Amino acid sequence: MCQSRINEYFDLEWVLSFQRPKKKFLCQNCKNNFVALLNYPRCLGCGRKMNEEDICVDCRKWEREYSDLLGNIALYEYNELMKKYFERFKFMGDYYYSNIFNEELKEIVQKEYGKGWLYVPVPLSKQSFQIRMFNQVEALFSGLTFTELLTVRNDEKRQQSKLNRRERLRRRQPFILNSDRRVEVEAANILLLDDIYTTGGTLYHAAKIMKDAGAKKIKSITLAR
Amino acid sequence: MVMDEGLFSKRAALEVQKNIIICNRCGQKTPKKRAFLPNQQYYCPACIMLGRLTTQHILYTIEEPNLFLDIPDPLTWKGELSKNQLRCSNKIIQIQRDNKNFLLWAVTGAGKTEILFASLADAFKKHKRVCIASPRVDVCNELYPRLKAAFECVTMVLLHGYQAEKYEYTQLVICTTHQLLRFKGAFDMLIIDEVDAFPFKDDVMLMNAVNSARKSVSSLIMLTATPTHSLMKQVRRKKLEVGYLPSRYHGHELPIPKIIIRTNWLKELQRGKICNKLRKIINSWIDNKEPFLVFVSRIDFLRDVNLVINKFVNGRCEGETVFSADKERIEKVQKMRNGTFQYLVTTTILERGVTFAGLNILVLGADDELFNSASLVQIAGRVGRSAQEPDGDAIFLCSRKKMTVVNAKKQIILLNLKGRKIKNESLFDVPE
Ligand SMILES: [Zn+2]
Ligand SMILES: [Zn+2]
Ligand SMILES: [Zn+2]
Repeated sequence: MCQSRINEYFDLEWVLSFQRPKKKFLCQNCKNNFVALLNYPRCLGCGRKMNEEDICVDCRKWEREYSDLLGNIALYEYNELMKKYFERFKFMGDYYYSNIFNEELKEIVQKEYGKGWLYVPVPLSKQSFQIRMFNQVEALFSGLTFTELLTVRNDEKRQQSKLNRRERLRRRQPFILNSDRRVEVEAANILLLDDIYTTGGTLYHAAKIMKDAGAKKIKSITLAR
Repeated sequence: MVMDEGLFSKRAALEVQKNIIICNRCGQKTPKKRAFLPNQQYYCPACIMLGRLTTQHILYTIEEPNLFLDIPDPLTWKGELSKNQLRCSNKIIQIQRDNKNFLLWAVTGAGKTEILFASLADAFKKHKRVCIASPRVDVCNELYPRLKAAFECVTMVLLHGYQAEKYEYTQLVICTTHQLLRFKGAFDMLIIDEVDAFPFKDDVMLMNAVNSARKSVSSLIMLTATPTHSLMKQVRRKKLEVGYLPSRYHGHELPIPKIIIRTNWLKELQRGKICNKLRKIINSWIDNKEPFLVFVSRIDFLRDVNLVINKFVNGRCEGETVFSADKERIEKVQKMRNGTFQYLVTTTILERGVTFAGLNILVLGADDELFNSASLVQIAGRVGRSAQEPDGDAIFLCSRKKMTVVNAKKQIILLNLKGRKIKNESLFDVPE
């Protein structure tokens, strides 16, 4: 991330394990500056850092509106460094940066939601896909088998970052369920995958579609919160 | 945009080879694995900050038309140059007219920018298009208003990755060296300020950018306070002409750094101890009420070092830590300026552009890989930066003897020697 050379060091654990070290994509300094949320008490709804485990004010609103919370697991806090990361990866389009968190994301998905779950990435609009040439969510979680149930409505450009919170929340349903796959949703366990949990709007819109189509459980995992 | 056939040329943005791709904008080679996109295309990560180029892009180049207004007297600056500055200035006018390459080796505070004014004026009068580039954004930001004031009627634009100003066709372009990649055969005169500040590993990309941004017949002026090895090699082989401006504007010499080797200084410091030599030095700074900067190589050292110094100072004076992203940076530097603080513990970020009268500096771990000879000479150049108080100490504390530290000292001695010799001799020669 900071372009500094990564010092490969050999610690005792590695010497004892007789294995090749995992390829490192981050230097220790950058690693320290990403805040791993799983080390802290979190909101049971969105996964943000809290003083003690609880449900935050925003999530109570979602609870009233949708009755079920997504129990989002976010790996890292959306801080300055994470913002920089997304600038490079998503907005400049440096696809290789998906490698930095790919292993960790796959691991948490498989650990928390192993068998019996469908992995549904939040889709990208056609226009954004044409410019970026990749779906950043699928890139981050690549290696998992996705079930692509959702499409962005044609008239709806999914450019969240240009909308403010109010507009984002007020916005109407941006997704449609791919009609040929409706049967797969019924009574299924759905794990929604996204890059950033911002207000929750995107994920709850997706969740609503799943619920209406008869999904049993709906949860979510994101890289950042 | 509508373009006439013949005025522009086109080619593919990326060249795909067996294991690598080569970018036609920045000239960098990248392994395919690093440049891969999931839709079977490739992109260039090296110049991605200028907008991502992929195998689907085509590069267009428009031939430079040099369409500029006649400005009979473009220089609106009315300052005066010293004798040595004037000689350098005249030399650069000649280089510009002859379309040659030139390295100006001028110490910090020698007035490099003013030396350029006459040659810029001369170039503008001849409808030449000029670019001043620096690897450092802050240097560009500082140059732009000064040039705007010096050449009120000349059109100019400032380009770097952090600002939104739209590109405009102007006679003078001030930009970061990365932005040079946007130009092809565009400039009649290209000036690179602080050519040494460019990260080593990107040297090739810089040279590519420089060579392709200038016209085949053009002048190249490189400014440096601490020339790199590769530049000095070119000078020695007589491939590059060099001019020295070793004395600072107040005419005083650079301080010769004192190198203190203390194998265990870091461990001692972590235990809250400071060696006797340093105690004596810091005590004398405090007793004489002289300000001092303590440089450390990493942000994580700041707090610990400050704690130790704070304890040692024991209320005799005040100070703080400061780093580049520090929210209170400006206030802290201001407190240092007005004397509320007598010292700051800082990372390398303050090394350029910040001046305090009668300053002393201490570098903790000058042998750290994050300091190179160039940055050490720059740090030493901060010492005593005013005509009233030109003296001060530069102390380099190291755990072992290292070439970068020794070379920094050698360069300073050489520069001071040049400064003394130059009085009546030629400013332009080949160094030993
Ligand atoms: Zn790093
Ligand atoms: Zn919450
Ligand atoms: Zn490139």
